[in-house]
Amino acid sequence: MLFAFCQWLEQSPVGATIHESTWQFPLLEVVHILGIVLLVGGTSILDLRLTGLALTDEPVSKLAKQFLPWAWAGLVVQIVTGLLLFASEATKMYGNPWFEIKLGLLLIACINAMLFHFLAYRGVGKWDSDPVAPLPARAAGTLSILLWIGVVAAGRWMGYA
Amino acid sequence: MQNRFANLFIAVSSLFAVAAPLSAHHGTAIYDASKITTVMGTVSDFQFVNPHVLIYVDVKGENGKVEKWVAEGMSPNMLVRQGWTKNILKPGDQVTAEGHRARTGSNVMVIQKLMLSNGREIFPVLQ
Repeated sequence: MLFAFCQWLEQSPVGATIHESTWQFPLLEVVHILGIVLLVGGTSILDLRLTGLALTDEPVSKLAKQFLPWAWAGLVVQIVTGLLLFASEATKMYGNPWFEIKLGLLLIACINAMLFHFLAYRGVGKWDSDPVAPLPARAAGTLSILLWIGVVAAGRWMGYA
Repeated sequence: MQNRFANLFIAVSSLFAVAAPLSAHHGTAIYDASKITTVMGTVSDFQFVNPHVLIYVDVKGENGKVEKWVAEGMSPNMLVRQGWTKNILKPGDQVTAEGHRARTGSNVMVIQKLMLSNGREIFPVLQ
């Protein structure tokens, strides 16, 4: 059922065109890598601040306002390019363990970001300018850095599975 | 501060340490570059696809049994710049492929040289 869907997607006009393309596939790869810079760069700046590793002079909320829009833009780029790349190789990704690991880590990273936003970040006014954020925020920041590294690493390893 | 950096570094490197031994595949690392394997046979399918082109070859063994081989090439982009098109090979073409076989011993190879039955070389140089 899922495999049939992958076959259909790969043979669809969009999937087949990219699969057999001279330029679209490598260009999508380039944009997908640039998207990592936007997404993981944006989140990492906030994460490093939360863990107390960098930018401790800046209020947390200021960094969140300045850099999370970049991360959101990056997420959009990654979803669009990621879906197109997947469409071109859907049957190969079916049963690729690193693809499954990547999606799993991605899901956990998104849940972590939501939990941070709705729990730890809600009381930010009380610790906005503290050089070291409270434990829940530190934990979310550390976990976020590790999860995104995992997503990128698993993504690269998909090509060697 | 330095201690925190050290902790983060350890955490990150252990992630890679877990990932590394599990990988060992594809790229060209799965192929045994120390030996050259030559197969002669009939193209059954040619897929001009990303990330690497795939040539399916039926090779008749000495006992008359047909062995199915897959010969992997470079990316369409690189091959187009060498003059290839998706019609350069078609089912039924007789080819001789030279290259490195998969370390696992399966009938998969990466091509170093590809010739048509009339002796015309199409890879690495399109003649």
